[in-house]
Amino acid sequence: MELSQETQFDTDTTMNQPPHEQFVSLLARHHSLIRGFIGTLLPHQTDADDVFQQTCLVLWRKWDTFDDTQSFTSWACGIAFYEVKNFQRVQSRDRHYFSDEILSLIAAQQSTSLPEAEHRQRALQNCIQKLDVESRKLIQDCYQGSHSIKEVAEQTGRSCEALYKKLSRLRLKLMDCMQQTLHSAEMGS
Amino acid sequence: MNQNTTPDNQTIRLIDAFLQGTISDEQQQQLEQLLAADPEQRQLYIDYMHVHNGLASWANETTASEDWIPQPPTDNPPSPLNTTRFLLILGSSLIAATLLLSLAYYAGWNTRPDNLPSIADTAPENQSNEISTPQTDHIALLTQAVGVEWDTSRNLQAGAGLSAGWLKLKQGTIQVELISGASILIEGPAAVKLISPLKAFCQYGKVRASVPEQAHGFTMETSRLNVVDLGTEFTLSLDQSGSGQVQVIDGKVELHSPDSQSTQANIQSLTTGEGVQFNQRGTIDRLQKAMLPFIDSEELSQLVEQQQAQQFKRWQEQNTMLKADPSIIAYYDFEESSNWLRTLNNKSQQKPSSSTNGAIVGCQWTSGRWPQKRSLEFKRTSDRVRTHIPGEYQSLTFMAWVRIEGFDRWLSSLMLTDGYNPGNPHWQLSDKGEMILGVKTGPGKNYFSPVVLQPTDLGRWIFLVTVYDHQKREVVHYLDGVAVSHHKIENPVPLVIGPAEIGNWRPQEHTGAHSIRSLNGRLDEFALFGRALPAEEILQLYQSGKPNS
Repeated sequence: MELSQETQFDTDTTMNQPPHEQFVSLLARHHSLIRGFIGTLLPHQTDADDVFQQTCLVLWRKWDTFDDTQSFTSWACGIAFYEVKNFQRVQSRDRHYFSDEILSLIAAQQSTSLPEAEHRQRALQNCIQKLDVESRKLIQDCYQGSHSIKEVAEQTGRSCEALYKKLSRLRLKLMDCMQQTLHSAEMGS
Repeated sequence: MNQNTTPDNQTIRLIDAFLQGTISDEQQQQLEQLLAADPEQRQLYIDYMHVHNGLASWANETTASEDWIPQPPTDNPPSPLNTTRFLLILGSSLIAATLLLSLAYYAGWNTRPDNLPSIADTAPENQSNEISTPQTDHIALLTQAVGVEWDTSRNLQAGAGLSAGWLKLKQGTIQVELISGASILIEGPAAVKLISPLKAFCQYGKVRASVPEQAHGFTMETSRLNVVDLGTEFTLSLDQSGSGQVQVIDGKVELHSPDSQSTQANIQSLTTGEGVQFNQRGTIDRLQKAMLPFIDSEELSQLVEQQQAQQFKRWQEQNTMLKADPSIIAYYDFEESSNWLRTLNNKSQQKPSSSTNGAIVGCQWTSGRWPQKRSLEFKRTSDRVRTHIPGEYQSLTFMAWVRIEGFDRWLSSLMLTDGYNPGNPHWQLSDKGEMILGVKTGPGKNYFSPVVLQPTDLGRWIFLVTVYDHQKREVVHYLDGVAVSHHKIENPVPLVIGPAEIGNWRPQEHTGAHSIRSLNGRLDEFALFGRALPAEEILQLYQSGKPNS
């Protein structure tokens, strides 16, 4: 799978470092992008976290095969993609996963948007800040991972159904807000 | 771009089901078909998933960096307009004479919304900052109370601020200082209503008023006549039928008729040694002989001293028992042999290690609940007692006798572990008057009591206990021996303390807002029990340790 080329800036600045330091600094810079990429392929946060960890290990093991004329993120996402497929293969079938064909399509489609990851994150941050306190609190409770939706529902006295609906509406709202932000930024620059 | 996607969008509905794990085989096929066929639907999916993932990392980052700051259970962010912050520091002169006679905790203060005016309503804009003066409607201070049985639901303690209203005693003696400077001793049974700083009404009872120059004109009303003090001291004795006596001890008073205009004809003057006797029919006769002896301030303070000595003895007995309690991990009774010692010894006979002896940093020695008792004063932001408590505890009970002088910041430390690591407890107070136990379990969990400390609790000795009960899976906060709130523990974890500070906090990597949590006040007893103390035992500890009977 071919992911698009990005600017050579990252690799240029790290070229003079010892190899392991170069790896650490590149991974530190791009981990959220890689994690985000994995997240589009695996719907469950815990799955995505596991695969991300595994991916980091593999990246380190294969670090000497990295050719520093290529893009680190393309290389890393390529490896991550195979880790996702591996993961799905060994998982039991009690959860729904996408077929390999769909995974490839989704991964390929992101190749063009990869370098935007940082902007996207910043836009999301801003949009979250625009939400009311209650919504932010709800997102925090539901997304933190320490409580199940059921527990949050019990605590807040709402039904799970209502919470899911509310979360869905919030995601849509944030998605619209992000796209407006990114769109106007493009126009402005 | 997928703008204005609605919640009923089919793709979104399918993705939601996919995320929730409730998707059916059929729906899964449907989703895959949609994604396979249309790049726009794929983009929608990717954008939506980016939000989903972004939220997860946002939520985790946000908690990871902020869980050491307890989040109040309310959703409103603190602002000067809607919080009831009281940064009230009682003038030390005002409380110097305060003898803290504790009765049951007076819960009535909690339910008075009129005590919490919005700053925006009352103060000009340029004054409405975070540390603006608190608003109280107190016109007097209860400075002493001996052997008092109240005849009202409000059980006031010495040190309490008093608003206009009734003071009813079945028995005992109290001293009330009005903010005008007048001070009155009331001996029960009595019913006296405070009306303003210069006016009170006596229904019955014995009253002795001392009126300095600043408070000339102080008037004690009765249903028969009004006594206007022109300086300096008089007594009034009134029985329930409305008959009574007025006698001037020193200075001059005027007697006015309450129901007619104050014309020269119905004003009588009395000077030192003179007195009148009156009955409910309105007859007023000159007193021929001195009236019944009435307690004076000096006698009252002697009574107080006796009571204190008794109570201190009772505390000493309990102190001996606590030293021998095998479940106590750390017991600081603050009874060190010298003012020069900078070690606060753990007096438990079974202390786990000498590291549990506290190192005193900055704090000065001063007096505690009784004049005979020592305490440490925490004043500056550097004042603290450092200690190190080894071990891991399924249940813990925190106990402290503390006199808070003011809430300088949002959080005031009772005992906090260095940093905030898994299993670490943080025991502290908020400036609203909430007791807080924070326990680091993944994201920190904070158990907030309701607002239990009121401005009137500043400057008096209070007894705080918080129990972390592993077995019952609950956290219970106690004030003055009485449980004020219960909280369920979702995931009990063993508590670990290690290096910790009493009255302050060493935040380690945490910097910025809320990293200064120094206590402003005194501590004269502090204990950590390696078990959950039952309610009866906590009440017993309070009974034996309270400053006065």
